[in-house]
This record gives sequence, structure tokens and C-alpha cells, in this order.
Amino acid sequence: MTTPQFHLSGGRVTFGSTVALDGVHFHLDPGEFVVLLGANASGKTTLVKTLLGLIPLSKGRLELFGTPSNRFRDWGRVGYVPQRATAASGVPASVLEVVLSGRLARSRKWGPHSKADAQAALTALDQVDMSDHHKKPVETLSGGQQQRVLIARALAGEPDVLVLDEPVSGVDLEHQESFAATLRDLNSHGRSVLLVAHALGVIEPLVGRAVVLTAGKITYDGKPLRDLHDSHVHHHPHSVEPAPRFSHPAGRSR
Amino acid sequence: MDALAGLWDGFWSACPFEFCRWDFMHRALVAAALVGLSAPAIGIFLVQRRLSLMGDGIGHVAFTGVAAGFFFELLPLVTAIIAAVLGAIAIELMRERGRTQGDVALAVVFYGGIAGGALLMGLSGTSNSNTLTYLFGALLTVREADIIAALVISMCILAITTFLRRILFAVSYDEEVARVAGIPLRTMNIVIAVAAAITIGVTMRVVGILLVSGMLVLPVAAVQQITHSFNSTFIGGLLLGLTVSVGGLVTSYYVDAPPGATIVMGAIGAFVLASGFARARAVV
Repeated sequence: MTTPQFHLSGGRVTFGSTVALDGVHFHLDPGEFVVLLGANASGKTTLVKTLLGLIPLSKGRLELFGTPSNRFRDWGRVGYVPQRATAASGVPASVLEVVLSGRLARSRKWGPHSKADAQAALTALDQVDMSDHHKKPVETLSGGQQQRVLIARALAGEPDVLVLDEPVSGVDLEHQESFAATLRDLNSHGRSVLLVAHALGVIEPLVGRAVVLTAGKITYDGKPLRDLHDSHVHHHPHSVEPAPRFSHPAGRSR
Repeated sequence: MDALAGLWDGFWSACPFEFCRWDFMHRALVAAALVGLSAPAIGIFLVQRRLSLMGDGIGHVAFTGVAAGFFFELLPLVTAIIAAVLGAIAIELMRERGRTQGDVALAVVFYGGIAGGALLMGLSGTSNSNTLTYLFGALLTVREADIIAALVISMCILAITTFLRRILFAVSYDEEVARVAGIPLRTMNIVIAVAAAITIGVTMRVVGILLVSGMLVLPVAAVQQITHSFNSTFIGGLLLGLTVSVGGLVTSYYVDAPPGATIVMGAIGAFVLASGFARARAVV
């Protein structure tokens, strides 16, 4: 049996008196491509941030690569692409600088970056087809290009698992397709992918397993089925649904 | 030590300008140069996080520290730095808690700092002119001990921002991703806050508490309009900081104006020029 890369059992997360996640069991095995679906405020982003140790569990047990999360240190194995409208910050930063910052988990923390770091950053940019732009300031790029830079930043650390939170929101269809091709390429090299999405869309053929969250609980976990109505999920929020529909109106979740 | 003193005297006697004849200008020039370099070095991380006003908050707390120095008859520079460091840590911890609460908490720190300072200044019977010295800076009364403190602190700030620049960049660029990369986020945030507080303690001597944040932020804000990367903004910010602080001091000598205000006006002038240049370039 292989060790899951993420393994959450009985996960519960609360914000004050609000229960954001309850009784959540989730695992991600090496090489899997899992999409996490759900309506706005269903807890998708909360689940992802919990898996990454950014949000503490109030109940439950989380293991990363077989290690309890509080003792896990091998962060280079995890690449994270957060939900973000823009890659710009208060001070200009070049594409290469942003991607290099994704190398920190794998390289020494002080002093200038090494040649190996620069090489890994350029390779990561190549994987998302952005190496021609490495000297440009990120804020001058289009939304889709900025998104690819943030993916390259996650790839620069050469992770075993890539976690992406709504990476295609606000990206036009053409770029969504090239993005799907990139993901297929990454996944075919044995890297597992956990993707938060509002709808399956162009990535549907890649997905091996879909997990649906409804009001903080997992209501479906299995093959990504089409032609099923998400109204079922809303009507029976506490049962595991066989048949969610994977298209939702565009929007953002938290 | 004698050789060093000889070098120092030799340097100034070789200087052809009139202002080089005065001992007080020697010390002022060195202090201005050190602050001009170190303030933007740490200020860039505040600008990057869009926390440009955090320096102001820390400065306000430093004012209470200065007043405490007068009140308890201790060195104001030392008590100011202690208060600024404590205030910076408090602001950082409040910021960590979330935006709305943190915003109000910041306001409490701002006004608490000024009110506390004014109160202690009054109770200790400090004269108004002494108070003004700290509010607007007193570059021309810098003593040798101030220079040594400024030298040590500037070197520390430049060392931290050079050797830890990649981590500080990652933390300021994207806190959550930095945490997922295994970087101790809170520790690094506190390193930035404390470094900013100490820098403000020294900068206060040059431009005063009310203008201190300007020295941290304005050179970076000016340069970033024409740069394309973080590293070039960093280096450009340092060079511009050095230029405006030394240039402002020399200008103030000739036009007989307060040096702190002249330096900050110079930085604003650079900001306006850079904006114009960036706009012209966008048109072409």
C-alpha cells in the first residue's frame, strides 16, 4: 500500500462559532489527479488550507506523506498555487524573482540564489511556456500569464504534489485549454495534482477523482460523473451523493 | 585608531566645499549617508506589503520612548528604540490577527504613541524646543556617540536585508506560500518589524519622528516607478536614499533651511520626477 500524500481523517475546522469543515475524510495518493468541487463558501479553500497546515484543525488528524502534520518539515515536496487575483505586489518584481521565491523550500535560505536554483526556476518557467518572459515585471503580464508564473513558482521547488486553488478563474477559454495541457503534462510525470475548481470545464478528461464539498462536508467522492444535477447536493447535503453536476456559475469561493 | 582619525581629517581637509570646514557638518553628513542607505533597505519590505504607514505607527511609539527617556533621565535614543521595537512587535501581532481589528488597533497605537509622548514630555518638564528636536530631527547636533550607533545599526540592517533578502522577499510577497515553503513566517515578520523599528530609532535623529516614515518609503516609492525588478528597486532605493539625504543636507546648509524637511522634500521631488518619467515612457 502506498502512503497517501495528504491524509485527513475526521477533520473539523471552526472559525469562531461557524463550523467550516465537519467530519471530513480526505486522502490524496501519489500520482492522483483530484478535483475539489463545491458551491461558494462550501469549504473548498478551507479544506486546501487545512491540508497545507495554514488553518489549524479543531478536531481530527492530518498526515502529510505519512508524517503527522505538526512534525512534517519536508515542505519542498508540496507546491501551492493560492487563489489570487494578481501576482503584483507593492514593489515591482520580475517573473524570475517571483519564480525563484518558490525555490526556498529546496535551497539554502540566506545569501544569493545558487545556479541550480536559477536553472530550476527557468525549467519551471519552460514547463508553463513562460521562459521568454522571465525578465519582465509580473504586473505587466496578462491575468493568465500571471497565473502561469504562480504555477511556475510552485513548480520551481520540484514538488511531488501540486495544490492549486481555482487557478483558472478569470482566465479565458483559450488559456484554460493550454493550462489543462500543462496540468496533463505535469500529472503524467507522476506528480499528483489537487485542484480546487468551480466547474470541471476543460480539465474534465484529466480528472481521476472528484470530491464535492457541500456546507463543510464531503458529499461525493468518486469518479467525475457528468449530467448529474447539483440540486441533488443541495437537497441532501448530509448524504454522499452519487450524482453531482460539475458546472457552476463562475464566481469565487473562500 | 590614530590612523583612522588621520584618514578622517585628511578626507575632510581635501574636500573643496565650504561646508566641509565644519565639524558638525562632518558628523551630520555621515549620519545622513548612513540613514539614507539603511532606511530604504528596510522600507522596501514595508512598501512591498503595502504597509507604508507602519513606519509612521512605529515612529509615533518611538516618541513615547523619547519622552520616557526624558522622564526617567535615560538616553532618549535608547528608550526610543526600545519603545519602537515593542510597538513594532505589537503592531505585527495585531496585523496577524486580521484586517479590521488590526486597523483599529493600529489607530490606538498611533494616537497612544503621540499622546503618551506629549504627556511624559509635559510631566518631565522638557522644553518645547527639545520636543521639536525629536519631532523634526536635529541633524546638526549629532554627536560622536550617535554616529557610532548609526554606523552599527546601519551595518546590521544592510547585512540583514542583503543576506536574508530572498526570505524577506518571499514573506512580503506572499505570506501563505512562504509558510507552505516552511519559512517561519511570524519570526520573519518580527525580524522585519524590529529592523524597521531600530532603523526608525536612528532615522529619527536625522529627519524627526514626523518625517521618519518618509525616509523609509519615499526613495523606494520613487524608484519603483521606473524599475522592473525587486533587486533593481532595492539598489535604486538605496542610491536614491543616499543621494537625497546627503544632497538635502548640503542644500539645507546653503539655503539655511531645516535639514530633515529639506531631505524629505528632496525625496518627494524625486518621486514626482520619477512619476513624470514613467508617464512619459508609457506614452512613448
